[in-house]
Amino acid sequence: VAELLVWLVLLAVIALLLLSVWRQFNLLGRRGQLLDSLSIIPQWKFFALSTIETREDSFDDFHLLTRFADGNGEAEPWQSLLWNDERKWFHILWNPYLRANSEIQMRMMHIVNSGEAAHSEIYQTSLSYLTVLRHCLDNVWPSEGSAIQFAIVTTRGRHERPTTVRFVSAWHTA
Amino acid sequence: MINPNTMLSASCILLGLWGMLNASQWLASSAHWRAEAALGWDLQGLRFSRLYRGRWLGAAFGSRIFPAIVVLHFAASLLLCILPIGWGAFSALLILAATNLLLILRSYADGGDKMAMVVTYGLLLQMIGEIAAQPLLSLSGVLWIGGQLALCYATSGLGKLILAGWRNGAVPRDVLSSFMYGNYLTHILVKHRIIALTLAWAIILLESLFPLALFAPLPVLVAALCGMGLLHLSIAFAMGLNTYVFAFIAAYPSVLLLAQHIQSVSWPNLL
Repeated sequence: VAELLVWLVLLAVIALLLLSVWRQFNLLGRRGQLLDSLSIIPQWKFFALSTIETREDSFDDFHLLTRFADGNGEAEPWQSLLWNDERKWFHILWNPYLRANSEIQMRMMHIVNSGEAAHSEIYQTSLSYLTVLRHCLDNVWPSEGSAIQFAIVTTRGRHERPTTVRFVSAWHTA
Repeated sequence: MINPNTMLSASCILLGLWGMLNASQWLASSAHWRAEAALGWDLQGLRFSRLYRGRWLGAAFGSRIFPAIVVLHFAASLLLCILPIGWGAFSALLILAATNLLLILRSYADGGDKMAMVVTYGLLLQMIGEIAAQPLLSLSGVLWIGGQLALCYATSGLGKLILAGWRNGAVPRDVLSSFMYGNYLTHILVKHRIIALTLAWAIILLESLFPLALFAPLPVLVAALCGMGLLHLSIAFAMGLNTYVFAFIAAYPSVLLLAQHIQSVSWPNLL
């Protein structure tokens, strides 16, 4: 019986490897993504997704800005909350905020990629929108009666860094 | 002749180092994951169906238990580094697998997390094979890790080869000039078209041809692994993806064993 089990394990490993090869050419649904995340049938494509060529903004830097307005509706200047700047040398050894910042930035990209739909009222209850709004409220504290607004902007390259405004949220009262 | 026991121990130590770094970084950024923060489970749990959001997972990702999961992840990784091959190390591997699966469900799986899981599954098989003296089970683990690593590199390389932006050096130039994925030094380097082009083709060829190294003499395979290891270090330096280094290098001992198995098979007799 032990011998048979060992052979079954070997066959299962070979089958999963073959499925993994097949997986590289086929995108799966939500369940497939879970198999990918759990590395049972993983997909490997580092910086080689076909969207690189179809999207001009694939390697733009995404930044998050926020501002307040007082009770009279007077808006304050924008301040940056998540701004990609020069990488620190020690990030090769210690980079604890990479995962959290990446997750926030993924949500920002999702909002931008949603296009016009992101401006609808119902979108303000979406996970991406709420995550970014909460991130703003985590880092700045509007006073009572004031309102908060966030903007997602992108820059490209390092010279002059021209800024493109990609999304401006609605005002939200604290 | 490569000793499987030595390779298994080396993989365990490298995976343990990955786990300790991963857990430490989770702990250091714990404020981001607390309840009512942007990445708090009370909000992020909404991306899962009710099945995943149920009582148990909700409790596991709550403010009290979640730090304990991360500490357990660290402790299992530390034990994996110091325990000899046996049931103790096997238990540490099981705990590492379980806690890493939970961390992946809590956030997302990056390439380093996925490779670490691949190595963990493979090492579990190899360790049972060693403990129960079942060489075929050890071979299954070696095949799983070596196969996935070869597939990972080949897919990444061939995926780049079919993109014009990679073939003409534009993608590495754009990637390494950004603040998110590059740094000042890489930006200076890839400003020169010839360097960007050379870098692009070096990566494409190294990744795409990696599986062939499994059939080459040992020094060629070792050179290929050194090249890929250096690439991971460069990526950590340029992009800050520091956990990828240990996760991927932990797979290399199994690749050496897989190559040894492949080359020990007498192919003419099989045919």
